[in-house]
Amino acid sequence: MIKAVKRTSLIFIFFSSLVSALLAQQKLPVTVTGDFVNTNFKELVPLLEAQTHLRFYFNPSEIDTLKVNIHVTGKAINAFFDELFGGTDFHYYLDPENNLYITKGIEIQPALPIGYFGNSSNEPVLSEKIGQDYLTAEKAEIAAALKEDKLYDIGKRTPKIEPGNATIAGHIKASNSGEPVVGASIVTEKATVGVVSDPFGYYAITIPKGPHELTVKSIGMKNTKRKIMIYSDGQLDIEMDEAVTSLKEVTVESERDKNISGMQMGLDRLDIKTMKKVPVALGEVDILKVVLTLPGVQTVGEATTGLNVRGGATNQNLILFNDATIYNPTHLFGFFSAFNPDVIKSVELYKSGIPAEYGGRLSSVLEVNSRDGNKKKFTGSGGLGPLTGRLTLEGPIGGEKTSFLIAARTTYSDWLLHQIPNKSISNSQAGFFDLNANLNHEFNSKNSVYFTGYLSQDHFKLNSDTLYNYRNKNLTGKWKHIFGNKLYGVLTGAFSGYDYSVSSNANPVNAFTLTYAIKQLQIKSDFSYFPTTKHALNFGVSSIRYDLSPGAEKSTGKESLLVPNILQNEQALESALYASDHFEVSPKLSFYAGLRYSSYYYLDPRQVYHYASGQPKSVNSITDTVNYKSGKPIVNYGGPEYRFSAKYVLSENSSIKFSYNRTRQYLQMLTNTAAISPTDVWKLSDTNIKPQIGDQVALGYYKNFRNNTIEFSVEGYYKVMQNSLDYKSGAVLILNHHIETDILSAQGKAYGIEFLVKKMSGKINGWISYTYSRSLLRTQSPFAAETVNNGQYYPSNYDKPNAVNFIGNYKFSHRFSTSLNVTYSTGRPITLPIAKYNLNGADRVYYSERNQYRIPDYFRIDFAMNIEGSHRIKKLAHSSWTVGVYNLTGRKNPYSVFFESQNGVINGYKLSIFGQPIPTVTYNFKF
Amino acid sequence: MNLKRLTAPLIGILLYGCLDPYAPPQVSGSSNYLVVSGFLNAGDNSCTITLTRSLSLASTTTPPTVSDAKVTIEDAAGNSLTLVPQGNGVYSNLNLSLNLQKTYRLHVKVTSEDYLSDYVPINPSPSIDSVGWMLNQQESTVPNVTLYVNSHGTTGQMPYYLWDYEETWSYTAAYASNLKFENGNVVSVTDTTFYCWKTLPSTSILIGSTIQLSQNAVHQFTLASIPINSVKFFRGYSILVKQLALTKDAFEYWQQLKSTTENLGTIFGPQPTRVTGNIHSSGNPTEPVFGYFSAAVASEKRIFIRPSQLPPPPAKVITGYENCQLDTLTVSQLAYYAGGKAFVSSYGVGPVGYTTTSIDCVDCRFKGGTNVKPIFWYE
Repeated sequence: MIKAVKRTSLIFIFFSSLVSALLAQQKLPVTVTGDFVNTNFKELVPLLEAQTHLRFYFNPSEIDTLKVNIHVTGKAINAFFDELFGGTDFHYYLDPENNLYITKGIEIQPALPIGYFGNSSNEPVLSEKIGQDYLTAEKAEIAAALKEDKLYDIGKRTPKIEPGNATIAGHIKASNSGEPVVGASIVTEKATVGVVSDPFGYYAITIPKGPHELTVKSIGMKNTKRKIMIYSDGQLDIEMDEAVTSLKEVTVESERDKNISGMQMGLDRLDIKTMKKVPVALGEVDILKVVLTLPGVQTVGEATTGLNVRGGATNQNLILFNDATIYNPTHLFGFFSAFNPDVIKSVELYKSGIPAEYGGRLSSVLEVNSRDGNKKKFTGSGGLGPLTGRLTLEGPIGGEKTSFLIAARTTYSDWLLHQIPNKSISNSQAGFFDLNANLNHEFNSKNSVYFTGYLSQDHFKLNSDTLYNYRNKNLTGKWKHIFGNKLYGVLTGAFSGYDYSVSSNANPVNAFTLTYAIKQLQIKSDFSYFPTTKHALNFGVSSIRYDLSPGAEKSTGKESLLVPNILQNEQALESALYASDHFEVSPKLSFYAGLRYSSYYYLDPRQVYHYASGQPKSVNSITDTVNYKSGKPIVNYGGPEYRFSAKYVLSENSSIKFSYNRTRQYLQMLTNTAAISPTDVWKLSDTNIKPQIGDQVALGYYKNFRNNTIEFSVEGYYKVMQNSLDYKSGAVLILNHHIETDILSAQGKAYGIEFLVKKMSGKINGWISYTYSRSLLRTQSPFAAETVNNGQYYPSNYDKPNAVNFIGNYKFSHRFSTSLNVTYSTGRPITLPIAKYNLNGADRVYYSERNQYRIPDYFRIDFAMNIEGSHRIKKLAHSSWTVGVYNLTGRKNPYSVFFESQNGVINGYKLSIFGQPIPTVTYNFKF
Repeated sequence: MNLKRLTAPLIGILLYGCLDPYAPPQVSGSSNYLVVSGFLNAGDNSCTITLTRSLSLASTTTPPTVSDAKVTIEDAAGNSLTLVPQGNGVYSNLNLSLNLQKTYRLHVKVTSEDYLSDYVPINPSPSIDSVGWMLNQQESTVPNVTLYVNSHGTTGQMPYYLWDYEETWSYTAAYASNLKFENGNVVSVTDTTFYCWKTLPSTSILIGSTIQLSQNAVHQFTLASIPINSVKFFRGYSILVKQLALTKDAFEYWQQLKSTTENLGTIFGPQPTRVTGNIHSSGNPTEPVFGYFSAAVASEKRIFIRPSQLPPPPAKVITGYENCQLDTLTVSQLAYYAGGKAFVSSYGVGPVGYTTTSIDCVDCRFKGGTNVKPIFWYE
């Protein structure tokens, strides 16, 4: 007798039969005998019903392709179906009344969570998916506990475990939003094997077959466990609960032992929750400001977000936002970073041991990833600060397969400026906006696509008639395909654009517009392959096409007499091929070896100046102007980039790591100012300007104390940079047709030692770091005109030997916490006047050799309080307030020291940017 | 592209930034380098050179002058023209015979050291078209008088310009004084120190270029901007503008000097650099010598701004006499208190006494001017 039922009604039938089953007697086990060869399951059912007196319930459309090949003699019905359905997504359930239900995808649970039906407690069963529909956190916790208690079978079930290894893979997702959890660590019970989820939340781990317990940890999420029985390769998706929504005890046990067991050194990973606790100047979470508190990261002044990582220049950082390069990561003179905190998921900074998949910049990789939209429900969030307002909306489209996120942020500083009753100020403008849009879709368990877009625009015009504008434009598309448990690949296409314009019509005769633009189109393909337990391979190719309009000054208006001054366009192709292997020799010793081969072509059409050898490059030493337009590359550079790391575990809670990497950089920023300025230009390497090459070795010691709650690390590094840039005195960088005559090629060296103590859990958490580092440059040229300080090593602009950072949070309750930030660093080097003289009636100054003196030391304390609204889950909107004071002591930290000849007298000044305590209040909401 | 002007207000107003005076740490090392000011003016065949020495930054004395040097102008053929010492480090010759087609260099010999400039051409320079002024009316602030220059050159002439100017203005003492205390009595005298004229040179580097324009034309180049309530306009103002054409090298020198000493310290401001000109020590090439020797046919223009041409200032004129107060002395007090006082007027019958003030409130020369009317003055 065949009962075909609709799947939707199946569950209902199920309940009623189960409830009645409570009263029924358990019958004896039944057995099956037969030799079924390529039998259609539909044909099998009458035979089985005849043998066993069971009644079968199923959906015919689900089983119509199921073929059976099995030989059994007197086998128990349970064992029969275990064997039949092992390794498939078919499940069965036999109730006490001898009804047998066959389901596909959904598994029928033999017990129901306690309290599921409100006050009654003993009622059974529900599928795991239904379990998530609980509306209270408490019930969700029970559901989670159930998941943790359940034994998951991986692979096709076999009577006995075959010897050898198997690979399990899957996605780690947040249970409330369905978003992938990035950087979660998945370790086996003995912590001998561990992997980390990738930016898609995907993981793959190869371990011996048999029973295991996997522990999954991630910052901001509650730890979870899965009991698994591995028969062969298989899938396991894991959902994690967000720690903050819980009403019970919150323990943020972020990757506790990763410090010791992780391979990577010189990596700092920050998630948005950590960053939100750090006090900021203008009331808005600023990821770059948080990055600046990490050891080895410095900046020349506080109103800038130019990062100097381990003695490198600001242009030597590869800043990636969803895989697209961001050329200007600042808004409003650097008072804000380009990243809207509401869309950021995580930030990773690689300072050393840079993996082979990254290239193109010398010093570091700063990878910023935005969130995917919530896949389960429509939500929004936003905030209001002293200068900015922001709003984010996200949610699923259709089912749970597609989600979107859009976010906007803008300033009302223009409006504020207009309120000031002073014409020169109310005529000023300064503001920005940025937009983010993300869309992702999962076609099936093997194919997903991701699209992200980013647009930002800044404008300012301050008590002058000159209007400045700049824009970042980014677009990324990604397709992830899982070939199998051991191999997956990601195809990425990304466009990055940056442009600025400066215009003035104050004097109609000189009215002008100056524009600059850089466009970058990148396509890359990355693969991850996990052949055995001991190896994890990554390989891929990438290619970037650059198109630059390095500067064009044009007249505006009819009266303007300005002659257009347009620099020739530049174009280039940068390609790379890489492969790397993470090889675990033993539980104690592992290696990472990678090779990246990059190749760079500077392309025509373009005119190139040739200079007389044996003479300093100047307009007077130009010997030839060559016109390239044949379609052949003008010049080609390239070479291998070695990436190597090693880890040796000394004991359960200590390890040492070593790394060496070489990096090459074909695109450099030209800047004559201490900070990143919106009018800085990027310049491709060409015949006269060689690419930069950097080599870094680093050695680190890591130790955890008190049950891994306190991390201690010390890392030392030594770095050599070839073809770094410095500039001749009075260099002209804008609209220079022969920029090479103003540029000096310098050799850089940097070294330092970084100490970090970190406590990430408990009521008191935070970190303290101390760094001693030096960054020096030396120009090497036979010509006096091309040397600085007679060819001796001199401190770079960002050489700040001593730096101490402290970030501490104290949590009074779940709704009230405080944080304190203390920063100290040596003042940056400057060139001081050493003599004064009177020329044509005015006093002038004569400067020392470059960077021989320092501005006073930098010291600042910030304080913030976070007050959260009630944590009731069912609430229209959740809100929080952040009240803070930036620069609590009001210390006037000099940003710069300078000397001006005013009315014929030399006056020294120091400029402090935040010279007094700055209180801020920010309101954030989420619905 | 100069971001200086935009950062100051932003930091000052929007973001609590502040600018404080800063006394640098005592920069060690003495400084005694030669400083050469002045240029060769082929317009009136004159050349005036001033030689001084540099000072350490902390020094508060005036720069020492070099008065024992031998200064000559030399052409490439070896002919030399001597500049005559005028004292105070000034050397001049107002009657040079020059050939506009030749190049010249400056030769300074101090004791046994020879300092030579590069050979420079005599730049043909266009003459000044006009010097003008306009009022920049701004709400809620005192309007400025902006002085500007217009000029144009032919395409063959240098597109690089240097300007300097001399301002002269008339002013008065706080009080007129026709009385004087002499031998125990107050006697009438003629007041000769009530009206003064003060002359000051420009102190900033004023350079411009028309290289980026399709015509070699300077349109309303701003020379100075002065608040209308400045004492300079109180009784009449005059400006003498001098214009020189520069070579490209000279222009770059002045531009660098300007940017390293006048445009620094802003957020995006360039870093300071060493600037040295075209004068070198022949014995020690690494010794810095400050100044740049140029030769040009300079052109000049003078204009006047009379008080009647300006609207009444909306704010009180800042005279510098704000602290001057009148006191009274009775006749009987004269013997004890008259010393060092200036007498403004008498009061009462007899008189009973006199109103007095301090000497600097009645003698305008204390403010740095002269009581001799300049020959070019319009009145």
